[in-house]
Formats: sequence, C-alpha cells, structure tokens
Amino acid sequence: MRALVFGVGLALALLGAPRFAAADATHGAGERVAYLERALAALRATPPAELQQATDYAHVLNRSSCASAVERLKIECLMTASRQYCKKRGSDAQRCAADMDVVVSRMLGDAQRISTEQRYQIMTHYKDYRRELARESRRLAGALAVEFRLQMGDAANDAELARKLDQYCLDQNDMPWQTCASSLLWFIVTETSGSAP
Amino acid sequence: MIGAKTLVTLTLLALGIVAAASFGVLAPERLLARGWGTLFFVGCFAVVVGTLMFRFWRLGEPSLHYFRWGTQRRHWSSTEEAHFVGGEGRRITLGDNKGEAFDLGPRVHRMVCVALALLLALACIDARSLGLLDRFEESVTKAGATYCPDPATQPPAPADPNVPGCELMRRAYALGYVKSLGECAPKAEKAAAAAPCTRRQRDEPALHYAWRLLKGSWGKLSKNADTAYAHKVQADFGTGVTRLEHGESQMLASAAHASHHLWTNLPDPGLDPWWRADSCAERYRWMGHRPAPTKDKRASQVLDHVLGQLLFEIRYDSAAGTCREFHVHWGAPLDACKRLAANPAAVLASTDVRTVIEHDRAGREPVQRIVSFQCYFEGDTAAPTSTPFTFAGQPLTVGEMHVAPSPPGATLYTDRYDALARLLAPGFHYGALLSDAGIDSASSAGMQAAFSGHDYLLTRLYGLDSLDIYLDAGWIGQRPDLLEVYPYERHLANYVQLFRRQYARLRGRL
Repeated sequence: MRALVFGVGLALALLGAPRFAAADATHGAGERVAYLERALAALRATPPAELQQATDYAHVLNRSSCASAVERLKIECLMTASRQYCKKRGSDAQRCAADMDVVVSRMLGDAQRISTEQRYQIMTHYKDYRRELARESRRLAGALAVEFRLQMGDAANDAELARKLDQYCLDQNDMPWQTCASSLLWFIVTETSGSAP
Repeated sequence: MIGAKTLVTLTLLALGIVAAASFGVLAPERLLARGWGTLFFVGCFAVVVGTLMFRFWRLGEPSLHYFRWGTQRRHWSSTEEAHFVGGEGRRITLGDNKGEAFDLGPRVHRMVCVALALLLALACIDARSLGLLDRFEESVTKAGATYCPDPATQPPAPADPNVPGCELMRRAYALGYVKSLGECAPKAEKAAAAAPCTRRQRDEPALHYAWRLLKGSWGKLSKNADTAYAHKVQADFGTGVTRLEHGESQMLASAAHASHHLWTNLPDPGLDPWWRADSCAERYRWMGHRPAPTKDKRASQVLDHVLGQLLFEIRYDSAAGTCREFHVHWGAPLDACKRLAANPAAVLASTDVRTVIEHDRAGREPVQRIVSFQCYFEGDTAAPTSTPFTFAGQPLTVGEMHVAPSPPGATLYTDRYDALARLLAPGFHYGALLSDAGIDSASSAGMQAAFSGHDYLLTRLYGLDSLDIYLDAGWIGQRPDLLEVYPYERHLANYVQLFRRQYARLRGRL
C-alpha cells in the first residue's frame, strides 16, 4: 500500500515538475514593460484620496495582521489582503490591484532603503515619526527620479516611459528592480500631478 | 522707583530661590544627606563670599541709577531720565538717583548677598566636593615630588608557606642538599636585588639631587656627541635613504607588488591582456550581475567574468587585488601544475615572481601572501589538491581543481563561483548561516508556485530575497526572466564581500 502511495506521489511530482519548469515567464522584459505601463495608467486614473486610502490600508496591514518576521509570509499575506481589498471595488478591481501592488512594493522597499539606524534616529528625534518617515521616503524617491530623468531623458508617452523605467531599474546596483520601479512610478505620477499623499 | 542695585540683587535672589527649589537643592532630605560638616563649610563660605560681594560691589551705598515704571502718555522732557524699555503707554525709564529711589538698607543688602552665596554653595558643594578640596592640598604639594619609595614603608612580601613544593625545598635547603631556595626564597630578597632607585632620596639635599641630575645629563650628552655615535647615526641615515631610493625606483618602474597566477586549460577568450592596467582596471570596474557568454569560448568568458567579480569589481566592495598583478595563463596543459611543482624555475622563468619575492627583502609579508599559484581545469572532475614546492628559497604551494564543464544551455553559473572561490581562498565556505536569505529555507515547489502568477509582479519579487542562488540555485535556473530581476545587490554582494574577507586573510600585496 505504501509503495502504491509513493508511486502515485512520485508520478504526480514528475507530472507537476515540468509544468512548473515550463511555466510561462512572468517577469520577462516584455511582461515587465507592459506591467509598468499598466501601473502608470492605473495610478494616473486613481484619485489622490483613493491612493491615500490604499497607502493607509497597506501600512495598517503591515503593522497588524500581516506583521511577520518571515518575509515570504508577510508578502503572501499582503497580496491576499490586497486582493480582498480590491475585490470590493467591482469594475475597478484591476486598476486597484495595480495600485495596491505599487503601494505595497513601495512600502516594502522603503523598509529596505531606510536603514534601521536611520529609522531609529527619526523615531527618537521626531514626535510625528511616521510623517518624517514618509518625508524621507519621498526624498529618496525624488533623488532617484532626478537621477532617472538626467540619465534616461524625457519620454514621449507612457510606453516609452515604462521601457526606460525598466531599463534604468535593471542597472541599479543598490536596490532591487521592484523597489526602484515602484518608487519611480509613485513619484512620477503623484508628484507631477501635485497630489502626493 | 527702585534703585538699580536693589533691583539686581532682589532679582538674583528670586531667580536663585526658584532655581534651587526646582532642582531640589533645598529639599530637607537632601540637606540632611550632606552632613553637618558640609553644612558648616557651606555656611562659612556663604558668610565670607556674601560679605565680599557686599564690599566689592559697594552694595552698602545707595544706587547711582534707578528704574521707574511709568504709564503716563505724555512725552516727558526730563534730562535726568531716559527711556529703557516699553512703549508709549507703559514703559520703564532709567534715571539718576538722587536719593528718592527705594533701596534696601545695608544690613538687608548684606543678608541678601549672604543668601545668594548660600544658595550657590548649596548647589555646588557636597561631601564629595569637600573630599576633593581636602585632597587638593596634598596633590598640589606632592605634584612634582619624585622621591624614592621608603623601604621602611614597603609592605613586606607575603611569605606563603603553602606554595606548592616549597616545604620540601626549604627542608632540602636546611639539610644542605640545595644551595638556593630558588622560587621559594622570601620575596624581599628579590626586591633588594632590583635596580637601584635613581630618583631623589628622602634625606637627600636639593643641591645634591640637582648636581646628580646635571651630571647625568652631561653624561648622556657626551655619550651621544662622540664620533662613534655620529657614525652610527650616519650609517642609519644612509640605510634609510637607500631603502627610500629603492622604493622610489620600484614605484617609478611600476614594479608589481604581488604576483598571482592561474593556469587553465580553457582557451583565451580573446579579451585584452589583464596586465595592461589601462584595460583591465576599466573592464572590471563595472560588470554585469551575471555572466552572459556569447557564441564560442563560453567557458572562458564565464571564468573571466567570475574572476573579475570575485576579485576586482568595485560595485559591491573594494577590490581584493590589482588586476595587473593577477595573471591567467589560458590554454595551459592539464599537467601545468605538476610541471610547476617539479621544475618551478623553468615554468616561472618568464614571470615576475622572483622579482616580487626579491622586492620584499625585509620580509614584510609572508611570501605565500604576495605570490600564489592555482590551476583551474574543466573536464573530468577530481578532488582538489595542493602540491608544495620550493622557489627562490621560499616554500610555496600550488592548488589544483578539476570541475565538470557547464551544461550547454546553462544560464546560471553559481557552481563556477563556488569552485573558483574555494580555489583562490582555500578554506572558504558559503553556507546558510552566512547567507542573507535567512535560515528558513522554503520548499522549492512552494517558491515556484509563488512566482507563477501574473498579478502583483512587483510585490512578488520581494520573495526572492529569501532565495540565495549562490547557496542552491535549484528551480530558478530554469527561469531566466526571474534571473534578470534577481536581487544580486543583496546576495551576490554578500557572497563577494565574504569571499574578499577570506581572501584578504590569505593574499595581499607589498
């Protein structure tokens, strides 16, 4: 009986392995650029108040029900909670998902970019430390956006901007691609429309 | 209208009382804790200092100026008053006092001064301060004393009768079997045998001590002024100058400060020679995160890339060496290392190894740090070996490693990093505890599933932080799309930093 179960399990594993191995590329260059373009469009179409609400929601999740020392667990939890959050949006669910992805990615990226020492300094020196952390995040994003603009130049449309964003973020050597991309997406959309939360 | 002196002293008193009360100086328990002696000293200090304040500031005399509070709206024209502060309706004016202003009487003024000094003393003086003052005289009077210690006041050395073995030794000494007690002798004997004290004796007259100092100085001066000493200084100076000239000539000739060699059976990838400083330093300054070999000679390109990242690229850490001092011998035969160990003089004749060894005449660095030899062969696998040999009178070793070639469609070459790192820095090991991925390893299937979705593309990628391809590449080797956005700045940087730390312990340059 055990041999039969083992055999069935092995067969299922062998059948399943090629499926994963041959899984479609989710983060190829084309997928990345298309996704960044969609995210740009979604962020532009979202009212500032709604973006602020999404940001607050993500931060609350990060500090409460999704707080975990295991990074993968936290990420899965944040994605699941974001899906549930966007499910209530009805027809705007896809736009909401793109927004939430940028918001959550930016939040996770800030946790890496603002070091623990720097975070401690801000928390001890300022009463409203969350506001100061947000300001520091905006400062970092602004510096990155300036460098991006100087290095990559102007973009005629969102498709070209997405392509340049992808290229620029791949060449970064001090932050992951997704941190760079979400930070730039957020800054470019919210700051150029003058509605930074 | 109030006199200026009265106003100042009363203001100071009010401020002093407020400050003392707020800092708890006047709290009863704190006053009691000071002790009666301290309080007596504080009282005396207050009386003396308060009286001095009263006398020197001439507080017994009426004030020369007064301050007046005025609310009249009219413009005054008096020449004896001036506007001090305030506006048109309410102001304070400053005027010459001719006796009409209110002033405290001399006795009251004196009491106020004493009270001020009392508050000051209470705030500053406590039992510890008194102790310091007590020791001040002693430290001042003995600050320059350099007397020899008084033997009479020296505590006698404790004669421990229970020192292991001493009982037998004393018995043997008493019976005449040994002539000395050795370690078991009383400690005072050792003290007596110590060097004589040359400082001033306690009963020595000052003039005699001064004469001794003068005589000693003259003796040292005459010793350092004779011809033998001058010759010695001249010889030392000459040696130093020669060494400097030697170093300068090395620098001007851009002599190598180390010589590290790697033989490989892989063909020359056709890149610029490494020893050209203008090409190699520039080429390895900034490299791609992972090897991206093109058509032919792929293995050589990968080896070149991995070596450059491990040793010279400055993206993640400062370089571990100078590329012009690291020589790769492409297309070497598989017995290159055996030939080297058997006849190093012939194999190394065309290299700068002997020159580098001779540069380090002073032996500042162990030769094994500035000269190293490795062999890296792709083909049949074999256990790594290390063969000792002697060259230029120095014991050296050559490490050899055989690894299997990478599969034709390989996109990830993490096994090359591991092989080369262990070859270049013997003893280097990269494990889960050293990785930045954390020790909670995820199941492979779970991770694959986590990266199969097409939504949340940005957030998903943070999961790659817990996947270190330099520990175990696994399934991600089949996902070139994820390898493009892999967090190399985290894991590769960590790997390179750890390797260079280990490499710096073993290898270096003059």
